[in-house]
Amino acid sequence: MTAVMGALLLGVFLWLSRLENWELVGSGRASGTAGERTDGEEYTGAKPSGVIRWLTTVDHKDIGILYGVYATGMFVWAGLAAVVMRTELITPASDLVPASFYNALLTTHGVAMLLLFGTPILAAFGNYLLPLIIGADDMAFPRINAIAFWLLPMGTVFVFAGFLPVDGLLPAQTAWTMYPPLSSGIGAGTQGNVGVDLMLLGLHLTGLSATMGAINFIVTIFTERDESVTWANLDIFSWTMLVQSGQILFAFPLLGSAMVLLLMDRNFGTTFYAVEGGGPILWQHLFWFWGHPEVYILILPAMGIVSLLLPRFSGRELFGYNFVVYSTLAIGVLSFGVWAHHMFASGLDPRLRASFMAVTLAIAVPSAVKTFNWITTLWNGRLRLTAPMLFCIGFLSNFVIGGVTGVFLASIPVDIVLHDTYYVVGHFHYFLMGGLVFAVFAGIYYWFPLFTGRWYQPRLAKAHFWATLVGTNVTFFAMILLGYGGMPRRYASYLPQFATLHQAATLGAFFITVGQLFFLWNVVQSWFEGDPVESDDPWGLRRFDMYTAEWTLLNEQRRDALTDGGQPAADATVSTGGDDATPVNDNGDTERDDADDTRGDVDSSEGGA
Amino acid sequence: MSRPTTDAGSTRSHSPPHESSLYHVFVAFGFAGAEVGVILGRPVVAAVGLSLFGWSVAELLGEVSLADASYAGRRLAVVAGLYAVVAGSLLWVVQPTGDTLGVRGLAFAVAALALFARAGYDTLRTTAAVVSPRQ
Repeated sequence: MTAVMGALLLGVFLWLSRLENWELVGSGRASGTAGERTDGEEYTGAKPSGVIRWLTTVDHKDIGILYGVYATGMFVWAGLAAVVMRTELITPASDLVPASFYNALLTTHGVAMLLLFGTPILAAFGNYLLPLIIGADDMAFPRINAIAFWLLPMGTVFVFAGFLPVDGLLPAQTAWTMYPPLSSGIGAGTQGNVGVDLMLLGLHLTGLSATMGAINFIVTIFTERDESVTWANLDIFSWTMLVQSGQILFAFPLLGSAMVLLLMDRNFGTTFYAVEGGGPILWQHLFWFWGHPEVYILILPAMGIVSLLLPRFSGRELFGYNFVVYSTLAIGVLSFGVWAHHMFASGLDPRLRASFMAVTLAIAVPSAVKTFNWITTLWNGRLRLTAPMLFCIGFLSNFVIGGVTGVFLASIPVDIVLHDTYYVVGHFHYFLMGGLVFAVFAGIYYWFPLFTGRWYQPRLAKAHFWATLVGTNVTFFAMILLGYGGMPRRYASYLPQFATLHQAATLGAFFITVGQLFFLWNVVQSWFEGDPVESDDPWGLRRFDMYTAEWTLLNEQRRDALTDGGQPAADATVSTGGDDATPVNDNGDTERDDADDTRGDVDSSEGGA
Repeated sequence: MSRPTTDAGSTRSHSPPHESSLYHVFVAFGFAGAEVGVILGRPVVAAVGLSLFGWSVAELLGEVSLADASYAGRRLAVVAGLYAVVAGSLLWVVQPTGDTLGVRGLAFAVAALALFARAGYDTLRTTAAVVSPRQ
């Protein structure tokens, strides 16, 4: 491995030494010898084509797309790991994959979903949309933005390196929590393999990436806003991205430090997490000081997307904008005061446990404020049940179930009974799959016309929604019941009395899988062959005075196409927007969609509620 | 639109918007290689990774006008100097204690030498260009 890595890096290093003017590479005019341009051409600002474009880009939209594609790949990988695990759990015995491989899948699923899918997919939305929404030309530090992205693929290679067919290399089996002494690698039966070291290094890189991205978001929002965008009218998505970035800034460096200490324990003989040193509980404190804010790091921008979208398909302003912003800030602060509720069963001082229980119950208040605001926004609204709206409503219902089950876990006596059972797994998957992922799908469908200039297929999108909603609830509600029954988490085999519920959970997982196949097919097919978007207001938002700045990009792209010699065909028409561009009927639906249901997903029959 | 900014690396730097070099990719790759090499004790990987990282950072500083773009040699020399300090600390302070961390100093030393060599070459080339400028 050393030889391969060394040869690879040496090759890159030598290539680097031959090219002295990198600006030429970006424009596809690298001579390899010059220190100046050989053709005398001036820059036009046009993007180079092919792979070079994606390697050299510092455009926030391109980097947003890169993040999105990368995160989708990780979602597929981690999802496949989950499907294999659920298939293994159809029968009580461990008969499909070895238990050690099950443990490896368990680890990779958790790590990939949280750090390689969850955080990057939100960065994708933030990168693409935030500068457009707040009127910035780009992110404040475009190159740092690009570096932050390119750290991810390298980190990913390390995280999954254990799965490579290399002698002596094994995948990590520490679970995503990586608790010592299992992860310390010292002693028999522990995880002493270099695969764990590589995973830790990979996670360190992804954490660095997240931190660099967070700094960029914060600086962009503070310094690059258009003069017309004030704190009072800053959109709710940007607010949540700002608070999330602040959380990342405090949480991720701590995780990075904790992992460096663990690496030192493993490789340099230190005793930070050894019993004779800092003790294994130290890791739990450090890990959860990152781990619990991480939940809100993932869910806050998801809440922002839902808060942004719900009013647009309800025909009403977001109810209690100020309270939604204040509750976002409150969650951001309180999330750092609840970490020890993950450690109620670890022998923590009872007085400390009580204080953490109180703060944990308190954080439910701002979450409930948001929930009531969303419901009130829907109340008496003129609902348009489009795919983004359906996913928002799905988010809301799943979030309520996830929240209510979380309140039970906040109670010390209940938590001690349910600790390390499937109840906990069901609870947090209601948040992450039922919350984060639903909001992400809502955002993808809503901005799909902006990202691609084309429409998705609404029937497939709705099939995707229903399969995912049913699958999510069947899978994770079964897990909650399993937890009540006492089924411990992380096991590849179980007692026969749990078989029925496990089989139900697996059936639900298959439903989810089918739904994601609909999604992937829809996105890929529509990206290349979908109907072109013909207006800069595809959702008819001007009618409700909810038009936001990012949609003007559609006009700019059409102008560029015409300026570059493109044909003024139907899909290249410069639209001035407004109700003329997208006629809206009395139900608040676009009339175009009444005629053709394959466009725009604006369901006329269910529209005016 | 938004007000002008002087932030380094912003779209208002001397590079055209949305178009850049490949250095940011090599910063990431170099850092990753350096991390693996240093932590896991693979000096070859570490040396190449550190060189790539240091070189790319130095060039990026010039590209975004945080350092004078005319003097690539000086920027590289500064990075090489920092590496040399780390290498010295590890080789002469840590290694005599028997700590395995000291071995990692070799990687920093090699990387420092490579960057110093490149800095010297760049300086000579810049000097030659000043003495006999092209028409």
